[in-house]
Amino acid sequence: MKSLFRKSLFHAGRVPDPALLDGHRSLIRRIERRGLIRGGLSLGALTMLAGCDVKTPDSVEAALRAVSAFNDVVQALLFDPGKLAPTYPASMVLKPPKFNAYYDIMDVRPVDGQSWRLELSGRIAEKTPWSLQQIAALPEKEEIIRHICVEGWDYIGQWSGPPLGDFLKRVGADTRAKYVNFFTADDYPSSIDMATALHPQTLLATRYAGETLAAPFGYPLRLRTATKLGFKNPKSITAIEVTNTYMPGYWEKRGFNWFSGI
Amino acid sequence: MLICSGMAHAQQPAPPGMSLAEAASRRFPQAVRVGDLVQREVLQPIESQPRLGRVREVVQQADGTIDVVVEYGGLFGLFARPIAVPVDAMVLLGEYMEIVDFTPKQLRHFKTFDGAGTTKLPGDSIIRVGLARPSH
Repeated sequence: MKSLFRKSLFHAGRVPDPALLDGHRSLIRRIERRGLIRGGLSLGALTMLAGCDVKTPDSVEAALRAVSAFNDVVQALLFDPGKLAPTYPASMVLKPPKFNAYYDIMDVRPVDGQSWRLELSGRIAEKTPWSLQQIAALPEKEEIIRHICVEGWDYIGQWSGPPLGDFLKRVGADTRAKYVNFFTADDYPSSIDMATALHPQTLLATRYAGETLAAPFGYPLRLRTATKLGFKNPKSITAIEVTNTYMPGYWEKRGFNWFSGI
Repeated sequence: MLICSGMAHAQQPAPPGMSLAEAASRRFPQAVRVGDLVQREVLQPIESQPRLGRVREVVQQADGTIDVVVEYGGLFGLFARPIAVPVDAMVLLGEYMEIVDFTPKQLRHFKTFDGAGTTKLPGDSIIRVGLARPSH
């Protein structure tokens, strides 16, 4: 009987390494003892509050946003900056990648790479704008990773460009700051936590499958992180800001989780 | 609910008065191997994304235009028939294709493809196909 269960189609082929729990036991204990109790109490209170007045969309919205903020905190606590996301063989790469945006394909406005500059602001020592040629001269890294969309679809993509963490260190960014904000040519502001910005698989991607990014996929420069949902990867970046001030992104303003880790 | 309603979307066909070729050129056509298109599922560009068929082959007409031959319709893979759809009326949607400029009602009236006057493109040929964002 036991062997039958082992062969079941519904039985996971691989199970997580139990050593993972050991490695994070102190963190889990902290969450259990403090975060969950304190967060749970406040969530319970909010739920009751919303329950008292569910006909008022604002109160329901506020309660849902509080839950979302709590999720952000828990996800940030659980994030392991040294743990790598799975990578895949080149034979699995989807060419071309899947286009997605808040606008139609016919509304894509190509960026002029010659006049494009990457502006830097906030807690960064060297704020001189970067040209595309200067970006292209930086050491690159390639990642073949899974793009997972909040809508439920995914694909394997092959991205290359300078690692964001290396770039931030090169320009003298304060890596103790909380947030890295992005501003884009398609008016799609976004922000990520510093731990994700410094993650070795987070790239300022300039190429896909060895080719220069096409306009719909974020030419000339886009974020490509392996540890967050697809909508956390802004395209056609024009400015980067390092800051301690939280800035909700395009979708966060419409109810999405900010951290959105995978 | 907020999330889903914010992203739900249906593709729009070529604007009135715009030719298929002109509309296709505004969908940022991307290079793709013919062999990578064969067997792709073809969807209808509405929120529920029903399956219209599957790509059988890609052919070139005598005038140089390119059609995608789709095994269209049928039930559970049976009784489908091949129809030739202009590539300019189709888009890439990740691992799928969509027919954005013809409705299922119009497609039902397409004649059954018999290959006459066309040349089948080999799998390593490169053609260009426009893009679309997801319809759901």
